[in-house]
Amino acid sequence: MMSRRSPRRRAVRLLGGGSIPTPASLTLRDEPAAPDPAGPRTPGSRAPAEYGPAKVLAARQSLEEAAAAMDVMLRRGATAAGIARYAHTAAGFYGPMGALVVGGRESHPLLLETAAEALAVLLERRGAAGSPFGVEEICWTNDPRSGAAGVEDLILATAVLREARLLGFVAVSAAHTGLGRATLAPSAGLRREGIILPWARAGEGGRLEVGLRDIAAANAEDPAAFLEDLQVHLSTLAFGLDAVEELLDQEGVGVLAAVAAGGMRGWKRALGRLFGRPESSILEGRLGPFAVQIRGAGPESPVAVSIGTDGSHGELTAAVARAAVRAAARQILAAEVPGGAVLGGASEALAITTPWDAGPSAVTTGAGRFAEAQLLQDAVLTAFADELPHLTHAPDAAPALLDLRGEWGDGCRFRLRLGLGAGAGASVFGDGLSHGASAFFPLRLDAVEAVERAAPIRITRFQLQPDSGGPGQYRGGLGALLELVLLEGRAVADVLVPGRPMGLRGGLRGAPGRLARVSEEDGTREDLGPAQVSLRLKPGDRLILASPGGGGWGVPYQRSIMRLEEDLARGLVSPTQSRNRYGLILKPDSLEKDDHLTYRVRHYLLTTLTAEDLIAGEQLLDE
Amino acid sequence: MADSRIRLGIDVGGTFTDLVVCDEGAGLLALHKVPTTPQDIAQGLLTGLKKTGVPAGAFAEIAHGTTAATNAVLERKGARTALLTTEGFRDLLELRDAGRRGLWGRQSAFDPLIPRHFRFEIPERMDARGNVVLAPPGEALAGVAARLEGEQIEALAVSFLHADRNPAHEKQAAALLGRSRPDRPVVLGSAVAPFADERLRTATAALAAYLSPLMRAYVAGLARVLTASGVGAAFRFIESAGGSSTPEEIREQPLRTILSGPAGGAMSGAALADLLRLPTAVTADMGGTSFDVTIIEAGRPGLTGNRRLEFGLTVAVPAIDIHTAGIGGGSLIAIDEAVPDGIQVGPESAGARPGPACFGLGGRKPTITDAALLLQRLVGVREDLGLRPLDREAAAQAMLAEICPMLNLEPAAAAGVVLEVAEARMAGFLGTQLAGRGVFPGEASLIAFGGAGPVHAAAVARRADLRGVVVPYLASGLSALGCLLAPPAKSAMVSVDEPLASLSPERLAACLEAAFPGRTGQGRLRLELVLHRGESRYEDLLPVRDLRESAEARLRRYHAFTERAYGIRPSPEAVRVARLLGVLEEAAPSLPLASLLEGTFRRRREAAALGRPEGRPDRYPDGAAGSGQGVPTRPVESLPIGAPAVGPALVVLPGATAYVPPRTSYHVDRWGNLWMEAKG
Repeated sequence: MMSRRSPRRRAVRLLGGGSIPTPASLTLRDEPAAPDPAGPRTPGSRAPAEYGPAKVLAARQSLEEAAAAMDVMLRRGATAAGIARYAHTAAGFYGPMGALVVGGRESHPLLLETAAEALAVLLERRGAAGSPFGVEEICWTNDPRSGAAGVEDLILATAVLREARLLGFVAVSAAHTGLGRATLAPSAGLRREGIILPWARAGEGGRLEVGLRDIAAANAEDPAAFLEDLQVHLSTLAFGLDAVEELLDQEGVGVLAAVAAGGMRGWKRALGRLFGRPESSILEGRLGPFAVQIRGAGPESPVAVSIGTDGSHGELTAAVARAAVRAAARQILAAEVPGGAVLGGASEALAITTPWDAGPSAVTTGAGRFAEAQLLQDAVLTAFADELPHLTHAPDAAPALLDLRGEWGDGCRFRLRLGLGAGAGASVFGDGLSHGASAFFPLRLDAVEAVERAAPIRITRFQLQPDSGGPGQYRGGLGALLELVLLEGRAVADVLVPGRPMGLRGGLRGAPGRLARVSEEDGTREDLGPAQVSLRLKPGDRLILASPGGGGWGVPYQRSIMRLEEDLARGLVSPTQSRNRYGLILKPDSLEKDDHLTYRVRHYLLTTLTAEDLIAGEQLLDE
Repeated sequence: MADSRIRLGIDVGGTFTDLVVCDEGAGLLALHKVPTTPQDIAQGLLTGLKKTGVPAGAFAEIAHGTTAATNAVLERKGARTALLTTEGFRDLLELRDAGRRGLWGRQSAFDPLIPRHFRFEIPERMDARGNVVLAPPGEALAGVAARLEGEQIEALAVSFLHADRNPAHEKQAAALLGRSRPDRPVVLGSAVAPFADERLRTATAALAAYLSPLMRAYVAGLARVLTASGVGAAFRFIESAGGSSTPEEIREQPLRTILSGPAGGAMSGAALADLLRLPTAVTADMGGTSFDVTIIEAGRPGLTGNRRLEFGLTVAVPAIDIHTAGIGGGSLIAIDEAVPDGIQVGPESAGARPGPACFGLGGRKPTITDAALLLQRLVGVREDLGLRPLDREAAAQAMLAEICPMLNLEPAAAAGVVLEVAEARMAGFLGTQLAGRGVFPGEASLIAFGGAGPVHAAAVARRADLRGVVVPYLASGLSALGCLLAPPAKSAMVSVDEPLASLSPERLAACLEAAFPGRTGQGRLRLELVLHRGESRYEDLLPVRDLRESAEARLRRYHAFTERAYGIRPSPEAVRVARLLGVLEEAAPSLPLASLLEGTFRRRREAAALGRPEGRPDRYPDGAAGSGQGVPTRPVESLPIGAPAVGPALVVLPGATAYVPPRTSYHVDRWGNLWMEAKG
């Protein structure tokens, strides 16, 4: 039994036990997850309205801590790199409609919210089939058509049942980068060999069915590690189930719904306040292929978010798009109200329409889910930039990803997946963080020494990339530069080098990511720019990879001279960029500024150019 | 005074400085409290010394936990420091591990300890096996030496790639650069963190160099102040690993004191767990600003090898495995407006000044202490502590102004909401730590101390499903007492890099010898193996309880842990021992804790029986602040030993109040410890 493995396990007292029918009339979204008022009541149970603030808040706190613990358990317990090293995990409690009630503080936002989307699909399908949930039944999916974020992203869920009533779900989600033998590269051929699991009953009594489990494992890159990680999933689910059962024992069966109802009210109230002013009732943002329009409709109605696209998107599905918008809204709210970071209710407070609502997009494997979700999230943030600048920031740059696999000179194989952090966007509160892995890209570079001891490569340079931060009154964070040489054997490198993020409020774009290969044989250098490419490396070949810088915030000519001088002294901004982008003129052959010229140039530019010119940005400055 | 047996333990907290005077001759312990003076710690110590009433010259030993190093980091007041790195890697400190400040929102810039223009690159290289690829040219080092002089650098860190495998280049650089200024500290990465991971090694070396001049000055300054005051006692500092060091040792290795504050409490908790024969215990030290949790198994606190000081700054320092949540008695309560009835408790604290509203020192914002007072969980009159009576009206006003309008509740009811939330958070945090260590809550007893810990202990234990609660007699002075319990010790970490399944007793002994050359038989050892499993970037810790334990038996213990913590039995090939982490206690704690506690409690009980509790009022009115109604209030000395009683009750301890909830049975033992059951 999975439950026996939970450290906080006590005997789970299932009052009714057995299987139950799922209500056929479930509404999947945009309705509060209130319990059926006509449903049976256990002794001592209470309706949500009967729960005072102390009970609701304490229950929420307990669930939040339990979800955080589940996340930790999932990450720490996992063996395979996908989870244990890169930490794409999420754990949470969901209501009987599939909507998120409370998630973990460190849960991956996309996985947390897509689990809600997927559970809604599960309920719809189970409801249509009249199929009940069993006690400690395990359901799983990694199918984007079932709401999952991608083939690598496996969701496991178990129902919370009391007296023939479905009270909610406990769900965990994690990215198994080896599932379906997925890679970071455009390896469509490999991907087609992968396995896609539509929502299915994968086991009961806390155990997975051996046949199903083994089929999935056979399609993982490392079957043994995958099986071990599945067991951690089960233990984590058991831990969460135990926590929610304890809470139900203590506070009655209505407590989960009371927490969910509180979350919904909170989200509506908070968003209603943001859209309370007439001038901010319609916000628009545009970034890359996405156009986002946000409309408030009063404090009690959901905020309408409409996504448009020019069709050049690659991998987004409706579920992932909705999850990304909710993640953006969560980020905006969390800037002022920390409770918003973990609390459910976003799916009821935001009515999101996407171009893919009618059906699945053409490509449904979700390979580029993180990159495109980040872009969409940033598009939402840009919509808020003018009206509510203190709640947002310029877009973060996406890290560069390197999947390196090959053989040592003696034929032994190696594989490394490395993420090179990028610059974070600046905000009205200051410069952006350099070399960070954004929320949608938790992949990080290992210690250089660990990399060199695991593969026949030597890293010859790993440093900040000066001038890469988007210029602005507040500068975007810097990207990083990684330079490596293959020492022996051979290797294939799948590399994703992201483009440049935009700046906001007059701030300029960060520098784009770069990729170059220098051949040892003939010394030729091949500059590949931002791209998603696959390269073959021979001994002596040098790979140079630079991640992009974050977007700048505000007009660069308004950056304080003191900050600029500091940037120059630290080598974060070159004299050329300080002159061309910031109007700081140095005396010839020196780092000392020319006060007179600097004043004149900055004054001229600020008084001559219109705000539109400045916001138009880089082209003008380049001239 | 050479033959004196009076010792003093001092713990400087965020709100109060606690002093425990131990008179071994008389077999007594005494607790004193003074407000902390963050601007001038030494001044606060002197005030405390005077308050003990013991002549300055009478102390034989003073043991002290210092926050000087930690504060210097937080306030960036360390030395003007330079860093030498391998060419191409000067930004290691700033690149960190690419982590973010938080999952959400703005990510503001990071301020490294050493600015970029003081980080110098040397063209040198070792390969992954430690073979020389490129030797550092003398002229490059000479050029840096000149720059160091020009920039008036006060301390230097040297950290080259793969120096854990071959530190020759680091030593060469240190020799050359140390020659010109012998008084300038030079710290090598390979010396302070001799294992793989250049980020950790570089950060550790940088921090050690950054703190070195400051700690030298601090130690010298403190000695001056104490000498001028007539104190001639030997002085010791408690370390983060729970041992203690002389001022000379701290001058050389200032990192030992980093985040050492809570170590005293953990050491006391471990000693108590041992005394009370609790196989598994969890200590909860809750003062004014934080909630520190340590798991004690077999009478010993666990160790960890990495400490995170702040965002982007994790260093390799052997330390007691203490987990901290930003919630304490002084934690401010705020409304989270996005959420209906949303309340945020902490992490901001009212601190020593202005403190909670009920302290009457100008605080206007409500804190957990204010809420506890309103719910009659605190005794409002503690003249024995030199405190003015707590102001219930001020607490109510603060609650009315900040919390009540949102909740639409009266102050007392709003206080109930606040405590429910706060205690749920504490219990959840505690449960998470237990789960991470693979401990079943039902097996663990809670040892609650600190000024605020006993107030919330029963509720937290009940929520977390723990076995029971022990509130020590000197609950509010346990950290200070722990300073006296910390034995002289050495701590070390060495690389092992071997599968757990093949780590023989002989190999372990060899690693131990490398950690403590020539001294392994000269004291009591606390050892942990730092394990790496599969591709995980997380580390598991496995205590070493018997040096002769076979590799198979050790693997079985590890599997027992992973089964409880994660529900798995990892394959033996996947588990490697990365490092050995150890503390060598060079002498057993010399404090006879059992007899001191028993003697002190007996003396207090006798005084109470005569109606003259020392320095305490004859009786406490029932209820808070002398309201005369509500929860019965009982001095702990008035309770018959071993006789069960049932709550509600406020049990008054020296410097603290324990709240016993309704229908909770409790009793006191001969050492004055208050035991409460977790199930009401």
